[in-house]
Parts: sequence; structure tokens; C-alpha cells
Amino acid sequence: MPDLTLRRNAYSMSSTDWNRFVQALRKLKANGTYDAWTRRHHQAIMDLTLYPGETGTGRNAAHRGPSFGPWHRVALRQLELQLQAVDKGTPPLGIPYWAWDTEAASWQTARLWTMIGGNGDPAQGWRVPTGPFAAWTSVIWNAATNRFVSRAGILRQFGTDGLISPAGTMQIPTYDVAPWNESSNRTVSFRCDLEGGHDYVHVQIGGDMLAGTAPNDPVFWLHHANIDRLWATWQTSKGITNYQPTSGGPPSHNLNDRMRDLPPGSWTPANQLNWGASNYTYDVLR
Amino acid sequence: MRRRDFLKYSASVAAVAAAGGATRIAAAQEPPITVLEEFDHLGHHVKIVETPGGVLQASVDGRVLAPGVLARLKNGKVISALLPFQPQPTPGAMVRSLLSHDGQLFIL
Repeated sequence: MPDLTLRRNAYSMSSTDWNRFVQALRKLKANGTYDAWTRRHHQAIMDLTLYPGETGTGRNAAHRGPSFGPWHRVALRQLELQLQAVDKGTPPLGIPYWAWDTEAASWQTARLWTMIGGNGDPAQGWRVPTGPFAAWTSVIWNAATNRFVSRAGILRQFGTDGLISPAGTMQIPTYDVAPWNESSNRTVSFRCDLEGGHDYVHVQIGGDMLAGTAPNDPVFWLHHANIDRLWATWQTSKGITNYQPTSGGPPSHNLNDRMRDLPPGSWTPANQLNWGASNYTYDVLR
Repeated sequence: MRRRDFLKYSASVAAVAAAGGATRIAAAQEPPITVLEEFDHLGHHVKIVETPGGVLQASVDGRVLAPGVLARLKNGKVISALLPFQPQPTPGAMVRSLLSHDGQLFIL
């Protein structure tokens, strides 16, 4: 059994460990592994998971439905293992999280942006001119040809609003409720309320984070590590196995359904609930 | 909704519907589709229609955008697989948003 992976607050990492993270990401970018995640995320969004004849929802393989939590949990852990494979350092490299919930009102001036590059430059079409990923090339979807194409840089266009505190979200006792989509009652669906707050982070950062190809921006992973941390925290008080639907829900979202648009493997919500069994943990649960 | 007028199937509209998956039945047998909005934005001509089955279809400069680019939610708002995190209040608002990001975040 390999050593336990500790995911830390990005601000708690040493500069050495942050640089390990940056260098490992660069290696995965160079060998194509990173961009495969960007394409996979976009494909999951294009892959609607509907009941026969269902309309009026954008529920897809990874969003707007119950598997929002477990799909991204798989993605985070698999990327993390790929980072560790190219890093080979000790302790094992963990994906850091950005606790945006602790600086929701002033996130635009967060220290994070001095680490990962800041806001985009309007004079350069909102391309991020600073930070360790300024020279990256992104992959974007050409809807006319159904192919991905390259585009220079990473784009960010910060909004002016604050982010949404998840304090109320964490009090909701039920993971999810019918109709298992964006219309689920946010006062009783932990997943729908958490996902709504998550959406707002994407929208406020703007640029590449707006699109289905959002993983083009590495901050995607720090954001989702925090979402996973919030879910893990919720699970410790509301129940590790607290997941709905167990059956009768939309395809790929039931407890034992195989989730789609992930790397080869038998990924189900059920086998993602006990996150400790996946051999990672967080320095601090919320 | 800026404009709503009902049209009988014509050859040009049939082409739009067929691209979205509608069956190729004689035009006279088809129920009317609804033109929801037609406008110019950022140098492009946009036409948005809704099929009798409730499917939204947008064409930009005469080219029909791929299925999934527009979808109406139960609450009436509109989402897009290309900008999945921010629903818009109307189909036109979504197409305007898509056009403003065309060539940057994706290629329509």
C-alpha cells in the first residue's frame, strides 16, 4: 500500500512542494495526459444522462445530477496518481485545494493568484500573462468540426461579485433529491446546493473556467479539490454512505451505476463514497 | 422573447429541422415550428427556432449550431453545453453570450 496522500491548503504548502505540483503538472501537460482530462470533462458535459424522453434538464455525466460529487472525485484522484507517477517524490504529491470559502468576499485579491497566475489581461484578450502556466496552450472545442483545436494561453476574466459561502449547504442532511438535476430543491439537496456554489466560482473566475473545457485552467483542480473536501466534510457528519439515488434515478447516477466519460475502470458512485479507502485525506476538514 | 411568429414549413425551415433530427416527412404534414428570435449580433445574423417537440435550434449566418448548444430548462432558462455553468434567461441571451466567446473559449 503506498503512503497516504495528504491534500493540503495551497497556502500551507512549502514553496518546494508547490513547485513539485507545478512541475508535475507541466510534465503531464507535455505528455498529453493533462489535455486528456480537459477533453474528458468537455465530453462528459456533452453526454446528457436523461431518462427516456426526458427534456428540460442539462443533466450530464458529471454535472447537474447526483454523480457530480463522485465523478469529480474520480477525476481528482486519477490525476493525482498521474502526478505522483511523474513526480516520484516523498511524501506523495497531493493536489492542493483552494479554500475559496474562507476568502469568499475578497477572492479577487487572494494570495492564490500570486502562485498560479493572476487575472487575464484585457489587452491580450484576457490571457493570463503571469505565473507558471502563462506559456501553456489550451485545447478548445470546435463545434463546427467536432474536433478540439489549440489556442494560446489560459484565459481569466474575474467578476466583481463575492463567492457563495457553503455554510448553509453543509447543514443539508440529504445528498440529493428528485428530479436529480439542476431543479432539485436546493434547500434539501446538498449536491444541488453545493454544485450551485461551485458553478458560481467557475463564473466569477471567468475565461476558460466558463467552458466545458474548464480544466484548461489549472485552478480548476484546486477548486474541485475544495469541493471534494467540502463533500468529505459533509460526509463525516451526515454519513459516508449517504447517497441518493440508490436506484430508479437517471442513468449513470444511481449508486451502483457505472459512471461515464472517465478512464477505463469500474467507477461507480458507490465505490467513491469512502474517500479514505482511496488512500488520500485532507489536512483540515471544514 | 422579442418576436414570435408561426410559420408553415418551407423548404428552408425544413432544412433547419432536419439538421436537428426531425423526421423527413412531407412539409405539409408537419406542425409549425416557432421562430423565437431573429437578430444581428457582433456581425452575425442569428435565428432561433423551437420545434414542436420543444427543441431549441439556433442558426448563425444560416448554419445550424450543433445539438446541445441550446437547451431549455424546466424553469424556462436556457443552458448550453459550451457555457455550462451559467444559464441565461432567454435563448437569445445565450446565443449572444456564445458569440461573445466564439473563437476564444470554443469555435461555434
